Amino acid sequence: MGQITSTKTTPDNPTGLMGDDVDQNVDLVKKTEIIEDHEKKQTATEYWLSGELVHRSVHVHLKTWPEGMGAVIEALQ
Amino acid sequence: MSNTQAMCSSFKKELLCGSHALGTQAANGVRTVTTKDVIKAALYLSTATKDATTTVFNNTGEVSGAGYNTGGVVVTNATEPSAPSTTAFWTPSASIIFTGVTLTNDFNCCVLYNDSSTGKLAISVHTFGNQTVTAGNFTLTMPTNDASTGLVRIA
Repeated sequence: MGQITSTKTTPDNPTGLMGDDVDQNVDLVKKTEIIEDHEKKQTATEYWLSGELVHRSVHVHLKTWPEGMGAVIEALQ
Repeated sequence: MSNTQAMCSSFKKELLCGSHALGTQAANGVRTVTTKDVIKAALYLSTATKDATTTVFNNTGEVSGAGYNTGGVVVTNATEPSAPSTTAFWTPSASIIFTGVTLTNDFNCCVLYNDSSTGKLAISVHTFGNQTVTAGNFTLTMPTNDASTGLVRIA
């Protein structure tokens, strides 16, 4: 099941813009999407600057491998 | 065409042949392994076909983009394989991080392979939901390194 949050934020300069390049009046929006099941949790974080995607990072947490996917080498009993 | 999560079948055979050293071992009467192999992780497009039949690393279907080097990144391997009970297991000791990359085409797969081996022997294929990255990081955090969830387990 997916979970999406969207917040307007003032992060620590995620766009890398500095000095005169920074327009304090532009809208910087942070969006976070989390998708989680029993095997993995995926978190995507985006920064949108005036409607343009300027940063997207993804974090995938592998919790385990599902049964039958070959993660376990079964020894003969 | 798609990617399918699996331990590579060739890896299972190669373990029996002594082709991989995920950890070190003291003298055992036959051979001594004092240097672990270098394990790397590479990312693949959603349109690639990585699965249990993958035998070696190659760049067919590998992602490309700013900040990404073909062949991927070195996996941190500071924790020796362990077998405290009936199941032996091994897991990379840190998250696998592709830093400062821009990957605009959907990718959903990471392949671990043995970079020290001559043929770049494949170990395992891991899949996740389609992703892109824009001037950011892609991080794969490992499961708990134990007999139930370790990345490579021999029961």
